[in-house]
Amino acid sequence: MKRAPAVISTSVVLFGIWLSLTLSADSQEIALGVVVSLITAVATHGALTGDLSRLLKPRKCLATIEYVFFFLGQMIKANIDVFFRIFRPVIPIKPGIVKAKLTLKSERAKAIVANSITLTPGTITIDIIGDEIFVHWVFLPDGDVHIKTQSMVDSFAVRLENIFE
Amino acid sequence: MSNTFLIIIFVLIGGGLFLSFLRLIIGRKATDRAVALDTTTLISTGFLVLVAFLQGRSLLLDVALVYSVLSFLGVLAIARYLDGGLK
Amino acid sequence: MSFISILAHGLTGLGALVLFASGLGVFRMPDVFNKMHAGTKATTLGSVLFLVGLGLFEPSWMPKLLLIVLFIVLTNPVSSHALARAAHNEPSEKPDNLIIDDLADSKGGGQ
Repeated sequence: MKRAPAVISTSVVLFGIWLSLTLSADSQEIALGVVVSLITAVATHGALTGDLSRLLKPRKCLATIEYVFFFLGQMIKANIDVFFRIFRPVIPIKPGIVKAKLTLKSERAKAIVANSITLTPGTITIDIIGDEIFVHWVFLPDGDVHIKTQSMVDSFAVRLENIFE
Repeated sequence: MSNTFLIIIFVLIGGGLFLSFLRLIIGRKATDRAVALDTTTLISTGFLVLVAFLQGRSLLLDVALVYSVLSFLGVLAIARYLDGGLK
Repeated sequence: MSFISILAHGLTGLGALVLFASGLGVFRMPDVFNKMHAGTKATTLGSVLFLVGLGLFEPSWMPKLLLIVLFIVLTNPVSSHALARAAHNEPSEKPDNLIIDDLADSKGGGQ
């Protein structure tokens, strides 16, 4: 029964998805939704979300909200950057793939870092091998690119460490 | 929604769809085409929701949802294929 | 016009503009990885803005539209990640304009 919290969080999330898909308050629909989401959660061992109950602590909750807003801000900056790059007559590019160290342990946190880096200004993740992450820059920053890349990755990793550990 | 606004939106989305589709057809390499396919399907998901809104048919929203799921799976399958199959 | 209506027009128009920029970016950028920059970032935010804007016009559709938005935000980086990996592993697909390439160095060193 070690997986019980993960199974319960997954089924709650799945039930939320069911509700927004059916959009009805009919008792039969809701009962069917509960059954189906429980079966799916048990069959997948709660692999969709993992244990969400840890996020209920106020400190972690605040850290999560802070991360979401930080991420949204970065995403908007990224789009302004892409936008002004595309409409130039000659697109300014200076591409390169740079590696950085990733201190996070959990696989889920690594996946979130990789996805966040892909959606933030000027960078996409190419690959993760062990604890090294490879980042593609559309325009390499001036100065030491390895230090710049490391600090960019860390700005996400530190925030995620507050949530996951 | 006024008519002028609607025309602007249609021109913008249609233009984006046209350009990415052009890249899908003339793309130089296989991965270029795969990226263009990814972009085309996402823009057409937006287009589908716009059509659903204009016709007032919420059924098309389900189509858009399934379409985005299938496009994700399709792009993943193409990426796996280009990478040399499952290892 | 009410505040909600102005917001809805603004979001929808901005979303359409960003989606157009993503199409243009995919068309104009010179190589695979740079195309991916336009094709991933711009389509993600473009779809988010466009769908949420349309949801403000038709509030009863909002939950389903938010579900589509959530799905796009979660899966779009994953598919671009898979494509990037494929493009880097295949020598004939890899662009030759990279100034630094740590990944090729680390792969070469590992073998």
